[in-house]
Amino acid sequence: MRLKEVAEKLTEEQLLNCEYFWLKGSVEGSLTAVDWDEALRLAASGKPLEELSAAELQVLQLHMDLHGASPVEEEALVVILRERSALTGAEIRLGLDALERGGFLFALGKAWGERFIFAPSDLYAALLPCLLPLSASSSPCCGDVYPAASLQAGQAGTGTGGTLPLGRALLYGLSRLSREPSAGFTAKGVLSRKMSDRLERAFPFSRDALQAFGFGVKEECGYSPSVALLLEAALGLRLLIAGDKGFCINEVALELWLKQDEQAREIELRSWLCDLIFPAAGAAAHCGARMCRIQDGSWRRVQDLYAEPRFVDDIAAGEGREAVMEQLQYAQNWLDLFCECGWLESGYIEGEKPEAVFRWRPFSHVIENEVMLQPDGEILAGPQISGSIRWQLEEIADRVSDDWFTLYRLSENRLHWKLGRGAQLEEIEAILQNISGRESLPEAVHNMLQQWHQSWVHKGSKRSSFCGIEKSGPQKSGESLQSSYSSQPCFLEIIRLPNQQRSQQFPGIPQQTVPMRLEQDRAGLYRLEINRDMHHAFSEKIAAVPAMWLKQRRSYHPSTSRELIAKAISLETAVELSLEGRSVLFIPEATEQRGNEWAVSGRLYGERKLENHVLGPEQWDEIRLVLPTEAANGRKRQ
Amino acid sequence: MTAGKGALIVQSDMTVLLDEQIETAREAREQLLMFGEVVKTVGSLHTYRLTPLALWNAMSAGVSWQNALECLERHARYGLPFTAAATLRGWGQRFGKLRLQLREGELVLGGDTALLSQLAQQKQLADWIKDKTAEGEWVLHGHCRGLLKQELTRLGYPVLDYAGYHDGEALDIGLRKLTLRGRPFSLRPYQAAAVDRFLQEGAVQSGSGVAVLPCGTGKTVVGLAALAGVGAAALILASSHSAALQWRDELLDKTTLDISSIGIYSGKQREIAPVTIATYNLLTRRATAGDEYRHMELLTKRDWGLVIYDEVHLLPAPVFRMTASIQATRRLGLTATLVREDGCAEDVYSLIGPKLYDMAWKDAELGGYISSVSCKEITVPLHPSQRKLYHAAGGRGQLRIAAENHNKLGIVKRLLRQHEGKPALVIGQYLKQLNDIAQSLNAPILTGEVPPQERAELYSRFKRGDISVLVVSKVANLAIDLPDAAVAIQLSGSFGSRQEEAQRIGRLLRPKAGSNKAWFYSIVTEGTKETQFALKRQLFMMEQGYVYERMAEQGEAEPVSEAGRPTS
Repeated sequence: MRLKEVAEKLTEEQLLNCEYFWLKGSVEGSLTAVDWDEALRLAASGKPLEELSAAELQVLQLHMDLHGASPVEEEALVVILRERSALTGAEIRLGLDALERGGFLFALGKAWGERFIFAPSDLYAALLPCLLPLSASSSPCCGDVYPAASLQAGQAGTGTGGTLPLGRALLYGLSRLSREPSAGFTAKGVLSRKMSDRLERAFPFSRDALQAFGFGVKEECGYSPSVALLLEAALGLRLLIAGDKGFCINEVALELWLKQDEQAREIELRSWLCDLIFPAAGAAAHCGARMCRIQDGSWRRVQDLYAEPRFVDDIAAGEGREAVMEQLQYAQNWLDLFCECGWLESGYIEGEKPEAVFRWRPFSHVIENEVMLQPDGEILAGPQISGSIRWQLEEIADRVSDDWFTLYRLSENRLHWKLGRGAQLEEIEAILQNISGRESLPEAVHNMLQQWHQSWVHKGSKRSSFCGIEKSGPQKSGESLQSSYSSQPCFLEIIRLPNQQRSQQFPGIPQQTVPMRLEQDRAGLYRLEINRDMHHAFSEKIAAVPAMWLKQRRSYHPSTSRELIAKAISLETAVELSLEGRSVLFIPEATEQRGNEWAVSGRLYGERKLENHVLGPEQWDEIRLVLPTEAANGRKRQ
Repeated sequence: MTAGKGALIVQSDMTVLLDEQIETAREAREQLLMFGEVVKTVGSLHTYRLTPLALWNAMSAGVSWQNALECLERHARYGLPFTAAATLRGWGQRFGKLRLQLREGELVLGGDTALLSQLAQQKQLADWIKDKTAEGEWVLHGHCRGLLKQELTRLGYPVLDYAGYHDGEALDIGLRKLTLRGRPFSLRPYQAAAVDRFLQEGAVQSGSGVAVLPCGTGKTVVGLAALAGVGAAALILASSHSAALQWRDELLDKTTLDISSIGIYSGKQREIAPVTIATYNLLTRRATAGDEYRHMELLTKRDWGLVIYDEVHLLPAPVFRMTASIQATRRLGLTATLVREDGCAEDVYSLIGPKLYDMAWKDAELGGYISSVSCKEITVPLHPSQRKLYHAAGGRGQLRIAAENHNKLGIVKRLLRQHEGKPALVIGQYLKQLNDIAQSLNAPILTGEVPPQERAELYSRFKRGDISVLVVSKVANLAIDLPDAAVAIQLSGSFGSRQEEAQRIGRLLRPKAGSNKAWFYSIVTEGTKETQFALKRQLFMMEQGYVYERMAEQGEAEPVSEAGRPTS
């Protein structure tokens, strides 16, 4: 989910009581006044992070480093953050609380009380460079770049043409759907095999590209990955609505979508795809998010997308290398996915050790209707033509090839199809004249169309009863569209978590799938949780603690020490010990009885890292309960 | 004309669109033609294709891949797609990476060692490798020289062949300064340049390659000079018996050879002499499909020092196979067009040799070596009486109906009136149509059925100007003895054959007295299959810089008989 979508689901109470950084400055905390792009730019500037305490910042950093934008069950998250940092449980809980109040993280509540903490995918991507900066700067690289899979012996090495960008494939797919009488659902409520095959031919897409992120196609729909992705994207962008009998095109949304330039359409789709994948990808999302931050079309090194893990203090060197290899695999997965979607080009720079590089393909951000109508009936459409002209061309001519320029050909069959759906020849000629910017059609084209028209008349000029699939125009109210969208099907599902292996080691990474969008939670198990104000609850607990336990390090009777230790464990906070004349921070975890004596196990902060220790009360001279706000200072002193 | 925009749109599938409306289009086209091939030239946006062979041929002739890339970058409207630039660079960088040499009697393939070890994985090459040197070079079996080059070219790796040639049986031959017919004779500069490249020791093109010269510019003379330069027994392969006779006449006229040194090996004569001229037809003749090509042994029957392949674009596949086994013999291909309708261009490159000289037709025209031909395509609507038939017919039927469009006759008559007094050929594919038109024009007709004597008589009457119009069938495509004409009107042809169009225009190219002008008209039925084929046919000439002016005419109605035949 994106920040805007999450925000729109928040209650008025939440909006009033919290101090969301993206809401500050907007009139009376009104959502309608929020400029969401500006909010994300603000996040990317890192300024809101300056308001966080060191512990809060560390909680956010560590959570994002380990889980990206994936929702993680809160208790598991506290456990893993404790294991992977020097923070106490209280610091983590209060940190999460503050991050929720500040609008950095949100919680999804499940019916029986579980809370899943997550960051909206776009907010995560915006914060990532500030939270996890890379030591190596991703700067453009130079040198001759070779395509990754070319120039092998045994290959002719012929240029293969570019991969169709997803946005264009979607346009073609929707146009195809709108023209096909077989676009209705079968008894199983899905598109027919014939229609599905036609869509697939429009956009060949590798199954592996999605599988690498754990996504698969829902078995019951039987679609190929490309068809599932196209339909899912169309539904996600609200260009298509699934009705009872078949899909229906949302004409209002389509018109707005086609009005955009090609770059805007492709970037919107990329955001949609990231929003789909980030929540399921955990730490694997970082490379993708970093790639998306690159604005220009220059070549970049793949190795600049990832770095040595930041929190490797407790990871053996071998494991660290494994983590780097894992990052490399994640980067490759994103490269493959974005290349399959036609947005990215990848290659390598020759050298002693070839360096893998990538760059974003340039898409036009201006609209210039460059359409050339040739005397032989071929139409060459430039890369900058508007979406609506492309849509018109799809309707009146056969697409022969698609590259920088798209080649269409007028054909007898297509003309007959169009005439059969009620169009007049003059109308078609006017469209051709208009889009090609000519005063008149080439004589040969005019004659050709006349001849085809005559042969249509000669054949009996039958009009088809099919006039395209249902279209929802402005007459359909916004509310009714909204309710349609709340029950839309989805064709892609998480079948395997991409970092499943690691999740066995680190149980904080989600084991079960949380719905990618709340709308898809048909059973209504999930809701956006209200912040619980942990700070207030914690203050109340602290108020019940003897003041001296907090104020001064003192020597106590072992039974009082045990009481103090028990309180620290229940509050999940640290104690300050005087150990061999030194003042140290100790995070107690459990007490244990050893015969008549007792001892406490926990983690001792020494030499700038935590070590597991079991201490008996005789080992320290003095003890004091440390509040979470003090713990950071204590660590600094040490 | 639009200024400021790039004229080229480079697509990632290696097609290049040339926008003729852009100010720099002419410059872009001239450069593009050096390393690209024309695919289609309809309307204002013309389609070209970049291929490895076109690039390697250009590189053999001295154009670098960097020049090609630079040209594309300079003229590209939207920049170069990554895959296109990388592919072109990849092709270019492959050129010169593999070299065949003869070392201490052994055939050795050397070059890029990493590439050699990569290629060694290819099973089809393994049998030819006898041994490997410490440097990773391949020592090859002697017989595989041609096959290896052919296979490596197919795999996308051109081989530069520096293995040299055997001398062959020595032949005492020189070029005359005064021809036997008493005319002064010397090589024209371009002929000398082509021969020099062929004879130049150590160059990529030396000893084997193809000279591409426009019709009428004296390809045969290049062959004679190459033969004189090599000074060894030679086998000349010609496309027909009449072409073989013309070779003999030229040898006698312009070289010091006498008749006893020249043999004709064709269906009619079987002589083997130090210089033997054979026909492709005979070499590929066999009794039944399963039999061996008995006459192919001619290629090894004598110690030839040179094999000349005339009209190499017509070389039949079996001759290629045999050529693979005579790679130590110098080979010279001669043609007006490297276009192969059968897709064997790779074999010409690897087995005969790279393009060693290419003269643009327009350059020949500027030099006054050929006449200036104006090409026009005239489109006419289908005659009303044939429209119903056309719509009811199948693919081939439609093409024939379009070709035999009755409206064409009126146009032919008008054109002949326009060029009255000039020798004109009316050329067509279908005998019935030609007979009808000959009858209507009251002009003699020349087809394959006309006996040689009658044919010679027609030629001489046409030459003398006794008859100004000759209606000819496809026999005219290659009939080298056909007299020169100033006007050619093409009614129909073999589908989309680019060669045929070039050959037919070739009939007009002999320099003319006075303004040195000639006219070629192609009459095409608009809105039919014929228009597409016509466009394809024109590609080669377009590639040579010829521009077809297009005119649409309504057709001049001719009375049509009940049988559907024009009556006038």
